[in-house]
Order: sequence, then structure tokens, then C-alpha cells
Amino acid sequence: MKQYQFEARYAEEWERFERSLHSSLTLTKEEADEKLKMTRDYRRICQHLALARSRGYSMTLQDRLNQLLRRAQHHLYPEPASVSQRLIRYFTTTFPRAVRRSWRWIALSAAIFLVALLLTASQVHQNPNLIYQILPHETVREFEQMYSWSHYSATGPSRRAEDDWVMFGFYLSHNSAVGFRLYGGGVLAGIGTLVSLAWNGIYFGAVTAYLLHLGKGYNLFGFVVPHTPFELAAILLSASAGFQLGSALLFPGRRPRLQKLRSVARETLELLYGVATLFFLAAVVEAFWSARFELPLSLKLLSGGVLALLLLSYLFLAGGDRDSH
Amino acid sequence: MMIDTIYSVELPEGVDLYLHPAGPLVRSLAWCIDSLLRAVIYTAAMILFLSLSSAITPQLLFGVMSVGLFLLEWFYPIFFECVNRGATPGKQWVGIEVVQSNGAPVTLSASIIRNFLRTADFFPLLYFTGLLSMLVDARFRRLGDMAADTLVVYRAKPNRALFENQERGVELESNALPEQTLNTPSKLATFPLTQAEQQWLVHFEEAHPHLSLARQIELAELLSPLTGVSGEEAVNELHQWARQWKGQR
Repeated sequence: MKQYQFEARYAEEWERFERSLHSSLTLTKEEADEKLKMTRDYRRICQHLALARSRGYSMTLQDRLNQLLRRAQHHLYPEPASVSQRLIRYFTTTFPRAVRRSWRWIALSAAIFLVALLLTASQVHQNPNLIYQILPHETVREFEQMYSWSHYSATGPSRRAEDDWVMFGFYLSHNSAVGFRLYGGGVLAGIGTLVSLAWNGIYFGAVTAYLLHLGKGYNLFGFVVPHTPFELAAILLSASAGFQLGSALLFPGRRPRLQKLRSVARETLELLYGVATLFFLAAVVEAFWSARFELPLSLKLLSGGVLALLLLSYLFLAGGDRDSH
Repeated sequence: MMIDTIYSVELPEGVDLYLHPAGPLVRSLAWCIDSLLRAVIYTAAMILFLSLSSAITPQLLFGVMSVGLFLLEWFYPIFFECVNRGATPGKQWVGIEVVQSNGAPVTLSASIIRNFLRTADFFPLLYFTGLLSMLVDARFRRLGDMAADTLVVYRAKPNRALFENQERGVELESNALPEQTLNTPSKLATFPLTQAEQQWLVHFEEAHPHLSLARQIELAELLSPLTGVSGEEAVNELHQWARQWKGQR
């Protein structure tokens, strides 16, 4: 068959198909029938393209059919819906299981973080002036001011309700960004994750030791402890996800590096949704509870302990054993 | 044909679909547009917020804005890639989109992976790592694309308008041609052409409405040794051959 005859015979069908692509991606009830018809037409046009190629019809024609099919893909393979079902399933089983599966990486992250923290803390403890080599002077001054209030004389720095919202926004954006960078840095063979995790340990170690040196440990722990469980868990989980990406590139095993990276990226994504949630919870606690300076220290420490216990039992117990399914 | 960047995917229906990956230049242009748009959104929101209520304290503004900045930075591309068929406004402007490497629309999880790994691609400055990765890879993928198994390709355009123009062009042209040239077989018909050569000639015929007459003549005269004519006649000779080949009389 000559190209012109071919075009003349099917042009109407192609145009009809193309017009049906202009409808919206979401279906109403009568469009479901339409959709069924569309898949049939789609297959026919696939065949037309194959014919056009094998008969060597012109590139314009081939390209037209090619583009038509490309556009049709958006209608034929939309993202599946039922978000609520998937969310419930994720938080009851997928996330805790994913955490347990990567416990080695979490342990590694915790070790790196703690070593960096303790080393720095002990150094700064011996020589408090060292902090000026780690942090800029202004930052140190800010920390001094932030924790300078006396717990006994007053009710702490006075804050109003809208200040809580301010801090919530700041904590959420700042901390989550730290976490996402820990994850993204993993694809640079894990080095990005390592450096930024160690830096977080150093930073926190230095500040803690310095404030203890100033005698403000009381204020610091009263503020930090309640949200530590969520925040530390989120940091360690994002670091462990980053390390998994890095190790997929460094030690791909028997599979091609890229293939390994892809499957691991998909696995780590199971951690990442949970990490985002943990950062959100941490920001809520930090802004609306940790910052209640008028509350007694014991209550703060207790709340931190309870939250840690809840979080750990959720991560260890929820979702059951993978093998039992 | 060996040096083009076309990438083909075999569909379950048994036919190859061609994808046209987008290079670093057009992608950075899209990124610039997106950044600009983000800055505009951010500033507009701030102005709106300030003007709506004068009772707002600077602290509250700071809090809301930092949440907004965070969302814009991390979730702007994910949102648009999932809602707008794989294209952020910047990508849409320059006519590219994100797809799975099998040509299917990008999924939420793939979009999250490729956008969260921007950190690594951005390292140390302005997507240097990503650029290196794109230059090395045959399909212009940055690290995030490799991990998420996605590609950034040129969007398929609705082609009908172009197609109609072309047919109209052909009709006008054939009206203008003297009757006898249409009926006499082209001299090229006696010359054995490979399939690729045939395709190039047909392509010339179909694309000629987009070329100036001078350029058409210049191209057609490349075949003067075979056709034995020059100038507009050479162009007509090729059109005639192509129309005969397509079965259009």
C-alpha cells in the first residue's frame, strides 16, 4: 500500500483518537466506555506505526503516530488512586518494617553521629575556647543569649502564641532540609551523608559542651529533650537512607550499579515518607511543648522519655514480621 | 542517524516508541524559569500577606514564610510533575517533561526520588555534578534521574495543525505545477535508491513548506547530477518523485 492510500484510509481514525486525548485525565462514568474504546484504538495505532516503519513511510507520518502514542500514554497509565488506603498501610506496616530492615545502617549512622558528638564535646569541655574555631562568633553569641535566662528568677523568655508558630515554621523547614540533604548526599557515594552527619554531631556536641561549661545545661536539656526522640530518629533514618544509596553505588554486588541504585532508591523511599512525618512531629513538639519554659524540668524530661518509648515500641512492634505474610 | 539522541522504548504492544531526551541547555533554561517563578510566587505571597492584615507581627510573617519557602524549595517540582503530566511550569514553557524510562508518565515515588536527590546534583554549586552526569550519559540523565529511572524528554505536541498545513501546501503546490510534469515519470525513478535515501526525499517533500525557496533549490541541486536539471525545476523534480512514491497523483 502506498503511503497516501494508507493515510487516506486511517486519517479519520487518528484524528478521532487525537480528539479523545483532549478530554481530561480523570474519568466520569460515561467516559469509562470511551476509555475502553481508547485502548483498542491505541493498539490499532501501535500497529499502524509498526506498519509505517516497516514500509518505510515518511518520517513526518512516523513522527506523527509516534507523538500520538506518546500523548496517549498519559491517559492509559495514570497514577493509581486510593491514597487513604495506601497511607494507612504505609504507617501500619511498610514504614516500621522498612526501619527494622535497615537497622544496620541506622546503627552505623548513630555510631558516626555519637562519635563526632562525644569527641567534640570532650574537646570543647577541656578547652571551651575551641568553640570559636567550630562556630562563628555571632552564632555562639546567639546561643549564649538563647539559653541565658534563669529558670529560678522568672518564667523564662516570654513568648506569645504567634511566636510558637514562627518557631514551628522555622524548625520544620530548617530541620527537614537538613534531613533531606543527608539523604540526597548519599548518592555521592555516601560521602555527602557522612560529612553532613558528622557535622551535625560536631555542631551539637560543641554547643552542648559549651553551654554546660557556662552552667546552662539545665536550660538546654529542658528545651532539647522533649523533641529529641523524633528529631534524632528522623536524622538517623535519613542518614541511614543516604548511606544505603551510597553503598548501592560502592558495593552493587552482582547487579549493575545503576540497577542496584534504582532498587535501593525505591526501598529507601519507604523510609523517607516516615522521615518527613517524624520531622513534622518533632517541629510540633519543639515549637509548642519544648518551648514552654515555665514547665518544670522533670516534666520535660519525662515527656521526652515517654515519647522515646512510644516511638521505639512503634518502630519495633508495628507491622508484624515480614515472613509471617 | 548514529549521532542523534533519539531513544527508543519497546511497548508491550510490540512497537518501538521514540523518545527525544532534552539536553542540559534546555533543562537549565526550564530551571531558570522555575526559579524565577518561585521567586515571584514568594514575593507576591509576602506582599499579599503584609497588605491583608496590618496586625501581623514580623515574627508570624517570618514563620509562615519559612514554611512557604521550604515547601517551594522541596515540593514545588514534585507537585507539578505529578499534577501537570510530568512538567513544572518552566518545563512546560520550554516544551519538555519528565517520564519513566519506559515512556509512561512519571509516578509520585519516582518524582520524589529525582527531586530529593537534587542536593547531590546541585553539589558543589549550580548543578555542577548534575551537569557532569548529563554530559557523560547518553540520555542526559542527572544522578536523580538515574536513581529514579526517569528521563526528561521533549513533549509530544498535538501534530494535527502542522499536518493540515502540509496537506494544504501540497495541494497548492500541485495546482501550481504544469500538468505534464506530473504525468511524466521522474528521472530519479530509474535510479536505485536505498530506503533511507527514499525517506530523505519524501521528508524533503513534506518539510518544504518550512523552507525558503532558495534553500529548497540549494538542497535539490545536490541531486542535479542525477536529475540533470537545476533551479526550481530541480525542486519540482524531487516533489514529483516523492509524490509518485507516496502514491499521490
